[in-house]
Amino acid sequence: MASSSDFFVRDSGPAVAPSGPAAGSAFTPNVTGHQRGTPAPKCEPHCAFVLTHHPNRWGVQGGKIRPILGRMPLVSGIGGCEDGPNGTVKAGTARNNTESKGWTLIPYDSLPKSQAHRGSYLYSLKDSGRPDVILPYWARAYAGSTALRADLDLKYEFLDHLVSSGVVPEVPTYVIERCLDDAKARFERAADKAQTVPSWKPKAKAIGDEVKVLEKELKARAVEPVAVGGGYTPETSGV
Amino acid sequence: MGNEVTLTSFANELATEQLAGVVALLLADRGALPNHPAIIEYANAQQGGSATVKASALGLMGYDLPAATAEGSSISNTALSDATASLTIGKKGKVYTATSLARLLDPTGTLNSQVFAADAVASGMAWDLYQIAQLMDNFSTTTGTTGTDASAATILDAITALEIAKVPGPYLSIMHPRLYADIRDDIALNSGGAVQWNADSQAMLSIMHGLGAQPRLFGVDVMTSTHCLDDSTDVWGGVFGRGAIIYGWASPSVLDLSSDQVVLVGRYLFDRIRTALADTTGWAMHQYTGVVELIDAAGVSMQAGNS
Repeated sequence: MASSSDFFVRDSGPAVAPSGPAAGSAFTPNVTGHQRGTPAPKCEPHCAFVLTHHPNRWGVQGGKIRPILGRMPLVSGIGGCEDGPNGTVKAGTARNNTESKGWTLIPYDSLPKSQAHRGSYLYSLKDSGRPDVILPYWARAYAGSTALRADLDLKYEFLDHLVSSGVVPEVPTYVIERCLDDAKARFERAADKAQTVPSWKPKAKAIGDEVKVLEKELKARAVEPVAVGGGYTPETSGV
Repeated sequence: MGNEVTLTSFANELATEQLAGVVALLLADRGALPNHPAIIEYANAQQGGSATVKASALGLMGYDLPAATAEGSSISNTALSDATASLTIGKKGKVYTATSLARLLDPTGTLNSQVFAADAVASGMAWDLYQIAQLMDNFSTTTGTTGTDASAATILDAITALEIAKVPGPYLSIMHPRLYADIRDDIALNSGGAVQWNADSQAMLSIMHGLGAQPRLFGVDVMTSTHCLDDSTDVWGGVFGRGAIIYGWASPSVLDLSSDQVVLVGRYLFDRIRTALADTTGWAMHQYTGVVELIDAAGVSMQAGNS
Protein backbone atom coordinates (compact mmCIF):
# COMPACT_ATOMS: atom_id res chain seq x y z
CA MET A 1 0.00 0.00 0.00
CA ALA A 2 1.36 3.42 -0.88
CA SER A 3 2.20 5.65 2.07
CA SER A 4 1.81 9.41 2.05
CA SER A 5 5.56 9.82 1.58
CA ASP A 6 5.54 7.51 -1.46
CA PHE A 7 2.98 9.79 -3.01
CA PHE A 8 5.39 12.68 -3.17
CA VAL A 9 8.47 10.71 -4.20
CA ARG A 10 9.50 11.12 -7.82
CA ASP A 11 12.03 8.92 -9.58
CA SER A 12 14.77 11.51 -9.53
CA GLY A 13 13.28 14.12 -7.31
CA PRO A 14 13.69 14.89 -3.66
CA ALA A 15 11.81 12.96 -0.96
CA VAL A 16 9.62 15.94 -0.25
CA ALA A 17 7.64 17.78 -2.89
CA PRO A 18 9.32 21.01 -3.80
CA SER A 19 6.07 22.90 -3.66
CA GLY A 20 2.43 22.32 -2.89
CA PRO A 21 1.02 20.73 0.23
CA ALA A 22 3.35 19.24 2.85
CA ALA A 23 3.38 15.48 3.37
CA GLY A 24 1.02 14.17 6.00
CA SER A 25 -0.42 10.99 7.40
CA ALA A 26 -3.77 9.86 8.69
CA PHE A 27 -4.58 11.28 12.08
CA THR A 28 -7.34 10.40 14.50
CA PRO A 29 -7.58 12.60 17.58
CA ASN A 30 -7.28 10.59 20.76
CA VAL A 31 -10.41 11.90 22.44
CA THR A 32 -11.22 10.31 25.77
CA GLY A 33 -14.57 8.56 25.82
CA HIS A 34 -14.95 8.35 22.07
CA GLN A 35 -15.33 4.97 20.49
CA ARG A 36 -12.27 3.69 18.69
CA GLY A 37 -12.53 0.70 16.41
CA THR A 38 -15.41 -1.71 16.14
CA PRO A 39 -17.61 -1.83 19.21
CA ALA A 40 -18.09 -5.16 20.96
CA PRO A 41 -21.39 -7.01 20.52
CA LYS A 42 -23.94 -6.00 23.12
CA CYS A 43 -25.82 -9.29 23.38
CA GLU A 44 -26.60 -10.81 26.77
CA PRO A 45 -23.84 -12.93 28.33
CA HIS A 46 -23.99 -16.59 27.25
CA CYS A 47 -22.37 -19.11 29.56
CA ALA A 48 -20.50 -22.15 28.27
CA PHE A 49 -22.62 -25.27 27.87
CA VAL A 50 -22.85 -28.75 26.45
CA LEU A 51 -25.55 -29.36 23.87
CA THR A 52 -27.97 -32.12 24.83
CA HIS A 53 -30.70 -34.13 23.18
CA HIS A 54 -33.85 -35.68 24.62
CA PRO A 55 -35.86 -38.31 22.72
CA ASN A 56 -39.05 -36.26 23.24
CA ARG A 57 -37.69 -33.04 21.75
CA TRP A 58 -38.29 -33.03 18.02
CA GLY A 59 -40.03 -30.60 15.75
CA VAL A 60 -40.31 -29.49 12.15
CA GLN A 61 -37.47 -27.12 11.41
CA GLY A 62 -36.68 -25.94 7.90
CA GLY A 63 -39.24 -28.31 6.38
CA LYS A 64 -37.84 -31.43 8.02
CA ILE A 65 -38.23 -33.22 11.37
CA ARG A 66 -35.14 -32.30 13.33
CA PRO A 67 -34.12 -32.55 17.00
CA ILE A 68 -34.78 -29.57 19.28
CA LEU A 69 -31.57 -29.53 21.26
CA GLY A 70 -31.21 -28.56 24.90
CA ARG A 71 -28.10 -27.54 26.78
CA MET A 72 -26.37 -28.25 30.05
CA PRO A 73 -25.07 -24.89 31.37
CA LEU A 74 -21.52 -25.07 32.76
CA VAL A 75 -21.84 -22.66 35.67
CA SER A 76 -21.11 -23.71 39.22
CA GLY A 77 -24.33 -23.99 41.19
CA ILE A 78 -26.52 -24.65 38.15
CA GLY A 79 -27.82 -28.15 37.51
CA GLY A 80 -25.12 -29.81 39.63
CA CYS A 81 -21.99 -28.07 38.31
CA GLU A 82 -19.31 -27.26 40.88
CA ASP A 83 -16.21 -25.12 41.03
CA GLY A 84 -13.17 -27.16 40.06
CA PRO A 85 -9.48 -26.39 40.50
CA ASN A 86 -7.93 -23.41 38.67
CA GLY A 87 -11.19 -21.86 37.57
CA THR A 88 -12.53 -25.00 35.92
CA VAL A 89 -16.05 -26.33 36.30
CA LYS A 90 -16.65 -29.87 37.56
CA ALA A 91 -19.62 -31.24 35.68
CA GLY A 92 -19.81 -34.88 36.82
CA THR A 93 -22.86 -34.41 39.03
CA ALA A 94 -24.55 -32.23 36.40
CA ARG A 95 -23.89 -34.93 33.82
CA ASN A 96 -25.48 -37.56 36.08
CA ASN A 97 -28.51 -35.31 36.65
CA THR A 98 -28.87 -34.67 32.93
CA GLU A 99 -28.39 -38.22 31.70
CA SER A 100 -30.65 -39.69 34.39
CA LYS A 101 -33.50 -37.63 32.92
CA GLY A 102 -33.03 -39.18 29.50
CA TRP A 103 -30.82 -36.57 27.87
CA THR A 104 -27.77 -37.41 25.76
CA LEU A 105 -24.76 -35.12 25.96
CA ILE A 106 -23.43 -34.20 22.54
CA PRO A 107 -19.63 -34.33 22.33
CA TYR A 108 -18.02 -31.04 21.31
CA ASP A 109 -16.35 -32.60 18.28
CA SER A 110 -19.58 -33.98 16.78
CA LEU A 111 -19.19 -31.80 13.73
CA PRO A 112 -20.13 -32.29 10.09
CA LYS A 113 -17.17 -32.76 7.75
CA SER A 114 -17.37 -29.20 6.46
CA GLN A 115 -16.93 -27.88 10.01
CA ALA A 116 -14.45 -30.45 11.35
CA HIS A 117 -11.65 -27.86 11.37
CA ARG A 118 -13.40 -26.02 14.20
CA GLY A 119 -12.72 -28.75 16.75
CA SER A 120 -15.81 -27.75 18.75
CA TYR A 121 -19.35 -26.63 18.04
CA LEU A 122 -18.84 -23.75 20.47
CA TYR A 123 -16.91 -20.57 19.92
CA SER A 124 -16.08 -17.60 22.12
CA LEU A 125 -16.44 -13.91 21.33
CA LYS A 126 -13.30 -13.19 23.35
CA ASP A 127 -11.55 -11.65 20.33
CA SER A 128 -14.50 -9.29 19.87
CA GLY A 129 -14.25 -8.08 23.45
CA ARG A 130 -16.89 -10.39 24.93
CA PRO A 131 -15.23 -13.33 26.69
CA ASP A 132 -18.54 -13.88 28.52
CA VAL A 133 -20.33 -14.86 25.32
CA ILE A 134 -20.03 -18.49 24.20
CA LEU A 135 -22.16 -19.46 21.21
CA PRO A 136 -22.69 -22.39 18.88
CA TYR A 137 -20.90 -21.84 15.59
CA TRP A 138 -24.07 -21.12 13.61
CA ALA A 139 -25.00 -18.20 15.90
CA ARG A 140 -23.95 -14.71 14.81
CA ALA A 141 -23.44 -11.71 17.07
CA TYR A 142 -23.03 -8.21 15.65
CA ALA A 143 -20.79 -5.31 16.63
CA GLY A 144 -22.62 -2.83 18.82
CA SER A 145 -25.87 -4.76 18.61
CA THR A 146 -27.88 -6.84 21.05
CA ALA A 147 -29.11 -9.07 18.20
CA LEU A 148 -28.23 -12.72 17.76
CA ARG A 149 -29.10 -14.42 14.51
CA ALA A 150 -28.59 -17.95 13.26
CA ASP A 151 -27.20 -19.18 9.98
CA LEU A 152 -29.95 -21.74 9.54
CA ASP A 153 -28.17 -23.67 6.79
CA LEU A 154 -25.25 -24.30 9.15
CA LYS A 155 -27.58 -25.19 12.00
CA TYR A 156 -29.61 -27.66 9.94
CA GLU A 157 -26.43 -29.21 8.55
CA PHE A 158 -25.28 -29.76 12.15
CA LEU A 159 -28.62 -31.24 13.27
CA ASP A 160 -28.76 -33.56 10.25
CA HIS A 161 -25.19 -34.65 10.92
CA LEU A 162 -26.08 -35.57 14.51
CA VAL A 163 -28.80 -37.90 13.24
CA SER A 164 -26.86 -39.36 10.31
CA SER A 165 -23.81 -40.02 12.49
CA GLY A 166 -25.90 -41.76 15.14
CA VAL A 167 -25.09 -39.30 17.94
CA VAL A 168 -28.82 -38.60 18.05
CA PRO A 169 -31.02 -41.62 17.30
CA GLU A 170 -33.72 -41.33 14.62
CA VAL A 171 -36.96 -39.70 15.68
CA PRO A 172 -39.22 -42.38 17.21
CA THR A 173 -42.55 -42.96 15.47
CA TYR A 174 -44.56 -42.24 18.63
CA VAL A 175 -42.91 -38.81 18.83
CA ILE A 176 -43.91 -38.03 15.23
CA GLU A 177 -47.48 -39.05 16.09
CA ARG A 178 -47.47 -36.74 19.10
CA CYS A 179 -45.96 -33.89 17.08
CA LEU A 180 -48.64 -34.45 14.44
CA ASP A 181 -51.46 -34.31 16.99
CA ASP A 182 -49.98 -31.13 18.40
CA ALA A 183 -49.46 -29.55 14.96
CA LYS A 184 -53.02 -30.41 13.91
CA ALA A 185 -54.42 -28.75 17.03
CA ARG A 186 -52.32 -25.67 16.36
CA PHE A 187 -53.35 -25.67 12.70
CA GLU A 188 -57.04 -25.78 13.57
CA ARG A 189 -56.66 -22.83 15.93
CA ALA A 190 -54.56 -20.88 13.44
CA ALA A 191 -56.92 -21.61 10.54
CA ASP A 192 -59.87 -20.44 12.65
CA LYS A 193 -58.01 -17.28 13.57
CA ALA A 194 -57.01 -16.66 9.95
CA GLN A 195 -60.70 -16.34 9.08
CA THR A 196 -60.96 -13.12 11.07
CA VAL A 197 -57.33 -11.99 11.32
CA PRO A 198 -55.73 -11.93 7.85
CA SER A 199 -52.19 -11.68 9.27
CA TRP A 200 -52.66 -15.20 10.63
CA LYS A 201 -53.01 -16.68 7.14
CA PRO A 202 -49.25 -17.18 6.59
CA LYS A 203 -48.95 -18.62 10.10
CA ALA A 204 -51.77 -21.04 9.42
CA LYS A 205 -50.13 -22.01 6.14
CA ALA A 206 -46.77 -22.59 7.86
CA ILE A 207 -48.36 -24.85 10.45
CA GLY A 208 -50.30 -26.58 7.65
CA ASP A 209 -46.98 -27.29 5.94
CA GLU A 210 -45.68 -28.67 9.23
CA VAL A 211 -48.63 -31.06 9.36
CA LYS A 212 -47.85 -32.22 5.80
CA VAL A 213 -44.20 -32.93 6.66
CA LEU A 214 -45.22 -34.99 9.70
CA GLU A 215 -47.91 -36.88 7.80
CA LYS A 216 -45.51 -37.67 4.98
CA GLU A 217 -42.89 -39.00 7.38
CA LEU A 218 -45.44 -41.09 9.22
CA LYS A 219 -46.73 -42.53 5.97
CA ALA A 220 -43.21 -43.40 4.88
CA ARG A 221 -42.82 -45.58 7.93
CA ALA A 222 -44.58 -48.89 8.28
CA VAL A 223 -46.27 -48.01 11.54
CA GLU A 224 -46.04 -50.92 13.92
CA PRO A 225 -47.73 -51.00 17.30
CA VAL A 226 -45.20 -50.34 20.05
CA ALA A 227 -45.73 -53.77 21.61
CA VAL A 228 -47.43 -56.82 20.10
CA GLY A 229 -49.00 -59.34 22.42
CA GLY A 230 -51.70 -61.99 22.53
CA GLY A 231 -55.36 -61.22 23.09
CA TYR A 232 -56.45 -60.45 26.61
CA THR A 233 -59.84 -61.10 28.16
CA PRO A 234 -60.39 -59.85 31.71
CA GLU A 235 -61.56 -62.49 34.16
CA THR A 236 -65.06 -61.37 35.00
CA SER A 237 -68.29 -62.98 35.96
CA GLY A 238 -71.66 -61.90 34.65
CA VAL A 239 -70.33 -60.30 31.47
CA MET B 1 -16.67 46.00 26.83
CA GLY B 2 -14.60 43.33 28.46
CA ASN B 3 -13.69 41.62 31.66
CA GLU B 4 -17.05 39.96 32.02
CA VAL B 5 -17.09 37.19 34.54
CA THR B 6 -17.66 34.14 32.37
CA LEU B 7 -17.65 30.43 33.07
CA THR B 8 -14.14 30.34 31.63
CA SER B 9 -12.71 33.15 33.67
CA PHE B 10 -14.49 31.95 36.78
CA ALA B 11 -13.41 28.33 36.25
CA ASN B 12 -11.25 28.14 39.32
CA GLU B 13 -14.24 28.97 41.46
CA LEU B 14 -16.62 26.54 39.79
CA ALA B 15 -17.05 22.78 39.77
CA THR B 16 -16.75 21.14 36.35
CA GLU B 17 -20.37 20.03 36.56
CA GLN B 18 -23.13 20.47 39.02
CA LEU B 19 -24.88 17.47 40.48
CA ALA B 20 -28.49 16.87 39.55
CA GLY B 21 -29.20 15.66 43.05
CA VAL B 22 -30.69 12.51 41.55
CA VAL B 23 -28.84 9.24 41.08
CA ALA B 24 -30.58 6.85 38.70
CA LEU B 25 -29.78 3.19 38.23
CA LEU B 26 -28.27 1.78 35.06
CA LEU B 27 -30.42 -0.73 33.23
CA ALA B 28 -30.16 -4.28 34.53
CA ASP B 29 -32.20 -7.41 35.07
CA ARG B 30 -33.01 -6.91 38.76
CA GLY B 31 -35.84 -9.38 39.18
CA ALA B 32 -36.04 -11.49 42.30
CA LEU B 33 -38.03 -14.56 43.14
CA PRO B 34 -38.62 -14.44 46.85
CA ASN B 35 -40.05 -17.76 47.96
CA HIS B 36 -42.53 -18.57 45.21
CA PRO B 37 -44.38 -21.76 46.19
CA ALA B 38 -43.50 -23.40 42.86
CA ILE B 39 -39.83 -23.40 43.92
CA ILE B 40 -38.77 -25.88 46.56
CA GLU B 41 -36.19 -24.28 48.79
CA TYR B 42 -33.56 -26.37 50.48
CA ALA B 43 -32.81 -23.97 53.28
CA ASN B 44 -29.26 -23.71 54.48
CA ALA B 45 -26.93 -26.55 53.61
CA GLN B 46 -24.51 -25.23 56.26
CA GLN B 47 -22.58 -27.96 58.09
CA GLY B 48 -24.27 -30.64 56.03
CA GLY B 49 -20.90 -32.24 55.31
CA SER B 50 -21.01 -31.72 51.53
CA ALA B 51 -21.61 -29.01 48.97
CA THR B 52 -23.76 -31.53 47.10
CA VAL B 53 -27.31 -31.93 48.32
CA LYS B 54 -29.40 -34.91 47.31
CA ALA B 55 -32.96 -33.81 46.64
CA SER B 56 -35.62 -36.45 46.27
CA ALA B 57 -39.30 -36.88 45.55
CA LEU B 58 -41.35 -39.84 46.74
CA GLY B 59 -44.37 -41.52 45.18
CA LEU B 60 -46.65 -41.22 48.19
CA MET B 61 -49.97 -39.51 49.02
CA GLY B 62 -51.97 -41.06 46.23
CA TYR B 63 -49.17 -41.82 43.77
CA ASP B 64 -50.01 -45.55 43.82
CA LEU B 65 -53.67 -46.49 43.94
CA PRO B 66 -54.73 -49.44 46.10
CA ALA B 67 -55.07 -52.67 44.16
CA ALA B 68 -58.11 -54.96 44.17
CA THR B 69 -57.57 -58.18 46.05
CA ALA B 70 -59.78 -61.18 46.48
CA GLU B 71 -61.20 -61.92 49.89
CA GLY B 72 -58.77 -63.86 52.02
CA SER B 73 -55.78 -63.32 49.75
CA SER B 74 -52.68 -61.34 50.67
CA ILE B 75 -51.76 -58.16 48.95
CA SER B 76 -48.35 -57.78 47.30
CA ASN B 77 -45.83 -55.14 48.23
CA THR B 78 -46.06 -51.90 46.31
CA ALA B 79 -42.74 -50.53 45.11
CA LEU B 80 -42.03 -47.11 46.56
CA SER B 81 -41.17 -44.89 43.58
CA ASP B 82 -38.77 -42.01 43.84
CA ALA B 83 -36.89 -39.44 41.81
CA THR B 84 -33.67 -37.73 42.80
CA ALA B 85 -31.36 -35.00 41.65
CA SER B 86 -28.12 -33.73 43.12
CA LEU B 87 -27.91 -30.03 43.81
CA THR B 88 -24.51 -28.44 44.22
CA ILE B 89 -23.84 -25.20 46.01
CA GLY B 90 -21.70 -22.81 43.95
CA LYS B 91 -19.85 -19.74 45.21
CA LYS B 92 -20.36 -16.37 43.65
CA GLY B 93 -19.21 -12.98 44.89
CA LYS B 94 -18.16 -9.44 44.09
CA VAL B 95 -16.41 -6.52 45.74
CA TYR B 96 -16.44 -2.75 45.36
CA THR B 97 -13.55 -0.71 46.71
CA ALA B 98 -13.32 3.06 47.20
CA THR B 99 -10.51 5.29 48.34
CA SER B 100 -11.11 7.50 51.31
CA LEU B 101 -10.73 10.58 49.15
CA ALA B 102 -13.60 9.38 46.96
CA ARG B 103 -15.71 8.66 50.06
CA LEU B 104 -14.90 12.05 51.59
CA LEU B 105 -15.93 13.94 48.47
CA ASP B 106 -18.86 11.70 47.45
CA PRO B 107 -21.85 14.04 47.29
CA THR B 108 -24.24 11.24 46.24
CA GLY B 109 -24.08 9.35 49.51
CA THR B 110 -23.42 6.14 47.59
CA LEU B 111 -20.05 5.08 48.90
CA ASN B 112 -21.11 3.68 52.25
CA SER B 113 -21.83 0.32 53.85
CA GLN B 114 -25.62 0.66 53.78
CA VAL B 115 -25.81 1.16 50.01
CA PHE B 116 -23.41 -1.68 49.25
CA ALA B 117 -25.25 -3.98 51.67
CA ALA B 118 -28.49 -3.26 49.81
CA ASP B 119 -26.66 -3.88 46.54
CA ALA B 120 -25.36 -7.19 47.89
CA VAL B 121 -28.89 -8.42 48.61
CA ALA B 122 -30.28 -7.20 45.27
CA SER B 123 -27.36 -8.69 43.35
CA GLY B 124 -27.61 -12.00 45.21
CA MET B 125 -31.29 -12.30 44.39
CA ALA B 126 -30.63 -11.34 40.77
CA TRP B 127 -28.07 -14.15 40.56
CA ASP B 128 -30.61 -16.57 42.03
CA LEU B 129 -33.02 -15.56 39.28
CA TYR B 130 -30.25 -15.98 36.70
CA GLN B 131 -29.62 -19.54 37.86
CA ILE B 132 -33.28 -20.55 37.69
CA ALA B 133 -33.73 -18.82 34.31
CA GLN B 134 -30.90 -20.98 32.91
CA LEU B 135 -33.04 -24.06 33.48
CA MET B 136 -36.15 -22.78 31.70
CA ASP B 137 -35.18 -24.06 28.24
CA ASN B 138 -34.33 -27.53 29.49
CA PHE B 139 -37.61 -29.28 30.17
CA SER B 140 -38.17 -32.18 27.79
CA THR B 141 -41.72 -31.02 26.99
CA THR B 142 -41.87 -27.97 24.75
CA THR B 143 -44.54 -25.72 23.30
CA GLY B 144 -44.33 -23.12 20.56
CA THR B 145 -42.64 -23.41 17.19
CA THR B 146 -39.10 -22.56 16.28
CA GLY B 147 -38.75 -19.30 14.38
CA THR B 148 -42.42 -18.41 14.90
CA ASP B 149 -43.97 -15.81 17.17
CA ALA B 150 -45.51 -17.16 20.37
CA SER B 151 -49.21 -16.66 20.98
CA ALA B 152 -51.59 -17.04 23.90
CA ALA B 153 -51.88 -20.68 22.85
CA THR B 154 -48.17 -21.20 23.62
CA ILE B 155 -48.68 -20.70 27.35
CA LEU B 156 -52.12 -22.35 27.32
CA ASP B 157 -50.56 -25.47 25.76
CA ALA B 158 -47.90 -25.43 28.48
CA ILE B 159 -50.55 -25.21 31.19
CA THR B 160 -52.44 -28.11 29.61
CA ALA B 161 -49.28 -30.23 29.50
CA LEU B 162 -48.61 -29.52 33.18
CA GLU B 163 -52.15 -30.36 34.20
CA ILE B 164 -52.05 -33.67 32.31
CA ALA B 165 -48.69 -34.41 33.94
CA LYS B 166 -50.45 -34.01 37.34
CA VAL B 167 -48.36 -31.00 38.33
CA PRO B 168 -49.82 -29.13 41.30
CA GLY B 169 -50.23 -25.35 41.14
CA PRO B 170 -49.64 -22.53 41.54
CA TYR B 171 -47.59 -22.32 38.36
CA LEU B 172 -44.73 -19.91 37.81
CA SER B 173 -43.46 -18.83 34.43
CA ILE B 174 -40.10 -17.22 33.75
CA MET B 175 -39.80 -16.17 30.14
CA HIS B 176 -37.72 -14.03 27.84
CA PRO B 177 -39.36 -10.59 27.38
CA ARG B 178 -39.55 -11.19 23.61
CA LEU B 179 -41.64 -14.31 24.20
CA TYR B 180 -43.87 -12.42 26.64
CA ALA B 181 -44.27 -9.59 24.12
CA ASP B 182 -45.44 -12.08 21.46
CA ILE B 183 -48.11 -13.39 23.84
CA ARG B 184 -49.12 -9.85 24.76
CA ASP B 185 -49.35 -8.86 21.08
CA ASP B 186 -51.53 -11.85 20.36
CA ILE B 187 -53.84 -11.04 23.26
CA ALA B 188 -53.97 -7.35 22.35
CA LEU B 189 -54.47 -7.72 18.63
CA ASN B 190 -56.01 -11.09 17.90
CA SER B 191 -57.87 -12.37 20.92
CA GLY B 192 -61.58 -12.78 21.24
CA GLY B 193 -64.05 -14.41 23.55
CA ALA B 194 -62.97 -15.24 27.06
CA VAL B 195 -59.40 -14.06 26.61
CA GLN B 196 -60.53 -10.68 25.32
CA TRP B 197 -62.59 -9.94 28.42
CA ASN B 198 -60.39 -11.71 30.94
CA ALA B 199 -59.16 -9.48 33.77
CA ASP B 200 -55.63 -10.90 33.34
CA SER B 201 -55.62 -9.71 29.73
CA GLN B 202 -56.79 -6.27 30.79
CA ALA B 203 -54.04 -6.04 33.42
CA MET B 204 -51.47 -7.23 30.92
CA LEU B 205 -52.42 -4.51 28.44
CA SER B 206 -53.19 -1.58 30.69
CA ILE B 207 -49.96 -1.39 32.67
CA MET B 208 -46.48 -1.75 31.25
CA HIS B 209 -44.43 -3.26 34.04
CA GLY B 210 -41.04 -3.30 32.36
CA LEU B 211 -38.84 -6.26 33.09
CA GLY B 212 -39.51 -8.57 36.04
CA ALA B 213 -42.79 -9.43 37.71
CA GLN B 214 -45.79 -9.19 35.37
CA PRO B 215 -49.51 -9.55 35.99
CA ARG B 216 -50.82 -13.09 36.37
CA LEU B 217 -51.75 -14.63 33.06
CA PHE B 218 -54.30 -17.46 32.84
CA GLY B 219 -53.65 -18.12 36.52
CA VAL B 220 -49.86 -18.35 36.09
CA ASP B 221 -47.50 -16.01 37.94
CA VAL B 222 -45.29 -14.53 35.25
CA MET B 223 -41.81 -13.07 35.42
CA THR B 224 -39.79 -11.86 32.46
CA SER B 225 -36.02 -12.06 32.42
CA THR B 226 -33.35 -11.47 29.81
CA HIS B 227 -31.42 -14.26 31.51
CA CYS B 228 -33.68 -16.71 29.69
CA LEU B 229 -31.94 -18.20 26.68
CA ASP B 230 -31.76 -16.54 23.28
CA ASP B 231 -30.17 -19.34 21.24
CA SER B 232 -29.92 -17.14 18.10
CA THR B 233 -32.96 -18.80 16.50
CA ASP B 234 -35.43 -18.75 19.38
CA VAL B 235 -36.00 -17.15 22.74
CA TRP B 236 -37.05 -19.44 25.55
CA GLY B 237 -39.02 -19.50 28.74
CA GLY B 238 -40.72 -22.04 30.93
CA VAL B 239 -43.77 -22.71 33.03
CA PHE B 240 -43.43 -24.98 36.03
CA GLY B 241 -45.13 -26.13 39.18
CA ARG B 242 -43.85 -27.38 42.51
CA GLY B 243 -41.33 -30.16 42.11
CA ALA B 244 -39.61 -28.92 38.95
CA ILE B 245 -36.94 -26.74 40.53
CA ILE B 246 -35.01 -27.06 43.76
CA TYR B 247 -33.14 -24.04 45.05
CA GLY B 248 -30.54 -24.51 47.76
CA TRP B 249 -28.26 -22.23 49.67
CA ALA B 250 -25.78 -22.17 52.52
CA SER B 251 -24.88 -19.24 54.70
CA PRO B 252 -21.46 -19.15 56.34
CA SER B 253 -21.40 -18.18 59.99
CA VAL B 254 -20.05 -14.79 60.99
CA LEU B 255 -16.49 -15.38 62.18
CA ASP B 256 -16.82 -13.49 65.40
CA LEU B 257 -18.84 -10.62 66.75
CA SER B 258 -16.04 -8.11 66.36
CA SER B 259 -15.47 -8.79 62.64
CA ASP B 260 -16.73 -6.38 60.02
CA GLN B 261 -18.96 -9.11 58.68
CA VAL B 262 -22.66 -9.82 58.59
CA VAL B 263 -24.95 -12.36 56.92
CA LEU B 264 -27.63 -10.44 55.06
CA VAL B 265 -31.18 -11.81 54.87
CA GLY B 266 -29.80 -15.05 56.26
CA ARG B 267 -27.87 -16.03 53.14
CA TYR B 268 -25.49 -13.43 51.66
CA LEU B 269 -22.18 -12.90 53.41
CA PHE B 270 -21.18 -9.23 53.50
CA ASP B 271 -17.78 -7.91 54.60
CA ARG B 272 -16.31 -4.49 55.00
CA ILE B 273 -12.61 -4.51 54.18
CA ARG B 274 -10.44 -1.67 55.47
CA THR B 275 -6.99 -1.49 53.93
CA ALA B 276 -5.28 1.01 56.20
CA LEU B 277 -2.00 1.19 54.28
CA ALA B 278 -3.71 2.21 51.05
CA ASP B 279 -6.57 3.93 52.85
CA THR B 280 -9.27 2.13 50.90
CA THR B 281 -12.52 0.58 51.99
CA GLY B 282 -14.03 -2.42 50.23
CA TRP B 283 -17.43 -4.04 50.48
CA ALA B 284 -17.48 -7.69 49.48
CA MET B 285 -20.40 -10.06 49.16
CA HIS B 286 -20.37 -13.81 48.71
CA GLN B 287 -23.19 -16.22 48.18
CA TYR B 288 -23.36 -20.00 48.15
CA THR B 289 -26.39 -21.09 46.16
CA GLY B 290 -27.46 -23.63 43.59
CA VAL B 291 -30.44 -24.82 41.57
CA VAL B 292 -31.32 -28.09 39.94
CA GLU B 293 -34.24 -29.61 38.08
CA LEU B 294 -35.86 -32.38 40.13
CA ILE B 295 -38.96 -33.61 38.23
CA ASP B 296 -38.66 -32.94 34.50
CA ALA B 297 -42.39 -33.41 33.84
CA ALA B 298 -43.21 -30.64 36.34
CA GLY B 299 -42.06 -28.04 33.85
CA VAL B 300 -42.61 -27.14 30.20
CA SER B 301 -40.25 -25.09 28.02
CA MET B 302 -41.68 -22.55 25.60
CA GLN B 303 -39.95 -21.29 22.48
CA ALA B 304 -40.60 -18.48 20.02
CA GLY B 305 -38.64 -16.91 17.19
CA ASN B 306 -36.12 -14.36 18.45
CA SER B 307 -36.89 -11.65 15.90
